[in-house]
Amino acid sequence: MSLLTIENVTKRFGGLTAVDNVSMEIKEGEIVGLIGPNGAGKTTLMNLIAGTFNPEEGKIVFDGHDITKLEPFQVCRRGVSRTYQIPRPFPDMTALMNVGVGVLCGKKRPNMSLVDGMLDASHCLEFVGLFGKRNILARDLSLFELRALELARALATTPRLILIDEVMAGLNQAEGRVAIRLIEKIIEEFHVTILWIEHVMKIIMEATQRVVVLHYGEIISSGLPGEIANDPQVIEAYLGEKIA
Amino acid sequence: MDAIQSILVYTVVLGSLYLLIALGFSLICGVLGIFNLGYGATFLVAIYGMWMLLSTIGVNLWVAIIGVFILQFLFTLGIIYFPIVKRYMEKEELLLTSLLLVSLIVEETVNHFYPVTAGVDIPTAIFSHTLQLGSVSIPAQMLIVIIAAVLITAFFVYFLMKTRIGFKIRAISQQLEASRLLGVRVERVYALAMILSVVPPTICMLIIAPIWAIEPNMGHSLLQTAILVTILGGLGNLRGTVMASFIVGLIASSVAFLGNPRLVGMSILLVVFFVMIFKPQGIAKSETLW
Ligand SMILES: Nc1ncnc2c1ncn2[C@@H]1O[C@H](COP(=O)(O)OP(=O)(O)OP(=O)(O)O)[C@@H](O)[C@H]1O
Ligand SMILES: [Mg+2]
Repeated sequence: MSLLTIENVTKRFGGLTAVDNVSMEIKEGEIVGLIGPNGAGKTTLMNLIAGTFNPEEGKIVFDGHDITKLEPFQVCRRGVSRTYQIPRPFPDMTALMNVGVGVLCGKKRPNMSLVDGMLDASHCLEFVGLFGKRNILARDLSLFELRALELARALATTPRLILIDEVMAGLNQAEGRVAIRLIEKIIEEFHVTILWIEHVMKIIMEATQRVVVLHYGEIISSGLPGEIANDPQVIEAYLGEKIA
Repeated sequence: MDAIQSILVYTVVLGSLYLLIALGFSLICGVLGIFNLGYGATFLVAIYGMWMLLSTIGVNLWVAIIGVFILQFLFTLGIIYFPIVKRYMEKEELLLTSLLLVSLIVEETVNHFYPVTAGVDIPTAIFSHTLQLGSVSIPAQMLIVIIAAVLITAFFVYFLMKTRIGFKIRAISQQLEASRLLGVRVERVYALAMILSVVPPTICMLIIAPIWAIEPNMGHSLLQTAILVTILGGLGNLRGTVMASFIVGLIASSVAFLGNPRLVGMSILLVVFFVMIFKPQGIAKSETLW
């Protein structure tokens, strides 16, 4: 069954068409990679799904409901959460409280107390391996820890679809491996659906089941990871930058 | 010796007063990240709303007090927040201009119906005698200002640190976009912060109206005080705002008793000016609200 359906979605910034008539579908339980050169519109597409921006044209349907014009908090409460390319923690809150915001606000939980919220949050932190850092202010965490925190926060809202915007960027190889392992663990444990932006091809090839390629806001290719890697259009989009 | 006693007493008294004046402005600065230039009108709505209820409509004191709070909430949500702040949040020039216009309109309206010459008499004094503290005498009503400042600040801190809504307010003030994405209903929290922000100035005016010179243009200097204290305190940090209030109180009373009372305004302005030039983040130690 299709969990997310994007139909002919267009988003412009002034004269620039960042996302151009994009249509795609993600099935429940799928792990879909989203790739494309810098400025291709990948993050913008995620912002459209999450409700940060509304598209000028087109329609976004999540779990049978039209979410095109919903506010971010409504999209979140329907079961979509995301991580940021550049982490956006609450800098003067502890790691635990950062996750607590997701627990207390990500679903309608009017009767949950702050203390119960923090208890739930500590389970999420434990899952991503940050329990030992629960009382550290987010401003004092390392980049790797911040990425784990973003994942914990995303989990805290009990999502069905997680939008992951580049976990690997800026991490060293060892950290990268831990991050990938963590996402695999999330998939196994919570059976979530994932749309995953990543520049590191190897990871997209290994970790995703299907890949969509954006270029200048348009989908230029989509298919199995193996097929994509050999698609001349894709190769040109990536290499074209360097050769031209 | 007498001067030192006077300075001490007045630092506490003025500090508490400045705190009540600035607290709401500072909260909005910290949470919404805007200068609410309509804040000056809040003081007028408090005093002249009260006076309208008492003299023109003729209700009794308690009804008037409840009425003035309702009026204040209607004003801040119905005129300041929904039509202006919510709409122009991202368009700073429009935001500031419209807020300024609204406060001028309120002032003109007040001036029309209740000109200075007509006088205002608000009977909310609990004490009418003066109090002798050592060599210093102050209106006993000023004690209420101190008590109110302590209680309201304690309430604000408790609310921000210990309640769910306070938790959301802090999240928004630290990272707006992530808050939205994690399910916080930002506009609703903003509206609530606006409501909270008019409580201290309303209470402040109810307490000092009986012992102060009331005029329709008093909003300007009160807004100015709120802005100066908020800048000095680090633009919305409440702990900073508390400290800044008493620092300004200390400057004001020292200059008044050791120097020339007519230089008080100038010295506060100069201190804040130099803080802005050399330490624009103010005296606050962190970005948090507390
Ligand atoms: N808020 C915005 N206002 C104006 N232009 C924007 C905005 N956000 C993105 N853009 C533009 O839209 C285009 C797509 O940007 P986007 O961030 O979606 O690319 P991306 O595929 O995520 O790139 P990267 O791989 O570098 O993260 C870019 O040209 C960018 O400059
Ligand atoms: Mg991006």
